Amino acid sequence: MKILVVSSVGGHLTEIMQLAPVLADHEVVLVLNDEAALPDFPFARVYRIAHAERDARVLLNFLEAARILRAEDPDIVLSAGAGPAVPVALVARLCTRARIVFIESAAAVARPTLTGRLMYPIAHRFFYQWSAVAHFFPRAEKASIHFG
Amino acid sequence: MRLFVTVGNALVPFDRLLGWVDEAIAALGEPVSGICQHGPSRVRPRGLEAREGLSRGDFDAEMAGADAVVCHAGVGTLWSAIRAGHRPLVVPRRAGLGEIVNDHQLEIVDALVREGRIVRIEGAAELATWLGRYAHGELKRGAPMREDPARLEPVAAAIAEGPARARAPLAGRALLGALALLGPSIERMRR
Repeated sequence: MKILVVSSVGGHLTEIMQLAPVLADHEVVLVLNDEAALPDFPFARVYRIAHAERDARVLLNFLEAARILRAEDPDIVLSAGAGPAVPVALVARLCTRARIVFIESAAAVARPTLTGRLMYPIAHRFFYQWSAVAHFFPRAEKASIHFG
Repeated sequence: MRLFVTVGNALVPFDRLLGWVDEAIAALGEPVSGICQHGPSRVRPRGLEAREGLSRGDFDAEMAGADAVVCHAGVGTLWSAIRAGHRPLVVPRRAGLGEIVNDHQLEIVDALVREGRIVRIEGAAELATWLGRYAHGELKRGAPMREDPARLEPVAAAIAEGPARARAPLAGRALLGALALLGPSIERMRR
């Protein structure tokens, strides 16, 4: 599979890279929203998009997402947040054949994250990590990647 | 004693934690060594090598080599510390103090304190007490955890399903083309 991994830099990137043993079997293209040291992983390509903070740059992210999705045509769009997951996943859901897989952050212990709430209707498969947030996401599944 | 202090990749300083570390080291009266990753913070705790950020490799090496870890409550940081065998001494960032956008760090700290996997630190004196226990050998870090690969299986299965449909709908492809025309060049983003 060709997997487009979308992440903000920092903790969310650390979270999604917990899946490295799974990703290693696939062609992985990374989309990041800022300059940062890359994880130690053989990415096929890396794209940097604008770092939006709930502002007008989100609109730019939609255009950047369209460019990248048209060039890459991924089978899977995978994210654990934060912000940049939403425009990329929405464009991918409407305009491509990709399956959208989202993992709610392990930081969502008692309440969903804003990204999680926005991604729930967009994602084909939605995973959460703490049972206490299960009732916010009735058709989601549990995958305790971090703290079990 | 080798100490690893880290406040993560956030763009916001966390001088409250670093100030407590500095006071605690002063009160400790024992020599400490190690690294303090401070990000945009201004305080530089005495006795520690100050580094703004760390590569993944350096970060993992410090986690592996430290006797004790003091950190903010970012998920990646906590997970790295716990996985390395630490019971980290944690100060959650607080939205009310301008240290983060919301108070989710308080929630993960509560959950992990309940499970006994981390220690929540409320001030410099308390931090000095805990550091003293490590310095005097009353407390020792644990061995690195072995992770269960089965925990990744649900997500691996979702990925293995492949694309959601054979072809994108015609209207979707047209919209994608129109949006892409307005976007920046692919070469500018590919780095």
